[in-house]
Amino acid sequence: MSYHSAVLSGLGTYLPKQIVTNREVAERLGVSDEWIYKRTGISRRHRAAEGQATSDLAVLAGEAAFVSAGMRHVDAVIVATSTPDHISPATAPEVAARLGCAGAAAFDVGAVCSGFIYGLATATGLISAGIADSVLMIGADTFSTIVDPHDRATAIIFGDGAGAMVLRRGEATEPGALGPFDLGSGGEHSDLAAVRDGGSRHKRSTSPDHEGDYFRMNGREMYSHAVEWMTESSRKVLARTGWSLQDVDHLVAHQANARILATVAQRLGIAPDRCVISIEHTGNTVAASIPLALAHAARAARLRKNDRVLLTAFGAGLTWGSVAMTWPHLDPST
Amino acid sequence: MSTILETATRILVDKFDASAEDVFPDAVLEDLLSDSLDWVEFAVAVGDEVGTRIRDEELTDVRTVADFVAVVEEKVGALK
Repeated sequence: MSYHSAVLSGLGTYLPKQIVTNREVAERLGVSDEWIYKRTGISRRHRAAEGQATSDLAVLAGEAAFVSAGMRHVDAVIVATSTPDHISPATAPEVAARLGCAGAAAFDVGAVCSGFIYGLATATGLISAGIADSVLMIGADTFSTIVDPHDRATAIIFGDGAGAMVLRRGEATEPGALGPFDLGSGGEHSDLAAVRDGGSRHKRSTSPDHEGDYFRMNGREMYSHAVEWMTESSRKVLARTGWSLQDVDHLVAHQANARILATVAQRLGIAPDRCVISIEHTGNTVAASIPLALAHAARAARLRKNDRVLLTAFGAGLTWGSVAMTWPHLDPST
Repeated sequence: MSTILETATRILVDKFDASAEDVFPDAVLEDLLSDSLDWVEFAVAVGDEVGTRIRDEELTDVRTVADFVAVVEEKVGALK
């Protein structure tokens, strides 16, 4: 049996039209625009319209990825999200149907901010095992639905958005081939960033002010773990590829906070000009952040064919993951 | 070779814009670091220089520069 690689052949993104500036957030929180920017590197973020669900963003990003890839059908659709349309069923089957892929395998992946990397690893598995010849991998989140607008730790950071990749069966030596991967988790720290209520542990709100319905985060401890695990995971992938640090043309890390990105790059020994930073105009878009950052860099003509790209992410769970890839020739679509 | 106090002092001055005269063993770290994320960046920077990993949970009881240096000295000592 011969094993195949998953190869990137299309990239699409969607950001909701409504923009939330630092000024708007700052006024509500009693801080300044500069205070937010200095702490996060973020100046604005997008917010889904009232009634616009995660699947709506996912479908638009998926359509854009199909345009970019020049194809309209895939064997499987994966949606990485932690803000699904419903507790049950998964969001992916509806997305697949609306994209005209009825009958395709469709399921969600939940790894919060690492969801896109986990999804890419899953898609690669489907392709390598011969289960699917092509996969649409979408990362989409509407964190505006679970962020407390008066919480300084989260309201300044998160934004809504979606990004998608079309992956096809190919060879490991082709530009666009994904791998090797590294994935990991640290569930003993699951309380560091979580929505307490709404699941099977606490089905209904346990406090009258709906405190448990919001995503709460210990920013300082998450920051510390993010730096540690994105660095560690990146090093593992580099060791598996045989690339040296000098071989990495672009480090594309989950866009959690500009300061985390700078610290990870510094620890790895990767120069700032080789780090893709797109957080300023989107905020932390959770599962969508990696494809949004890649599209940002590709549109700016920073990513060129055969460039060596290292993707790394860290999120609640805790979860983390990294993957190496060579960049193909493609035009990202919106 | 620099002591850990000298390394921590240099990083506080160079990277976190503290005035040299404000950095002394009994100085309160919270007064020298502008926000909670600075603590993580400071611990990472010192840890990288002295060759150890300082986890955030190890800093729970740290208040002063001397407290911080004691935590790092213990870790580095344990490595020897």
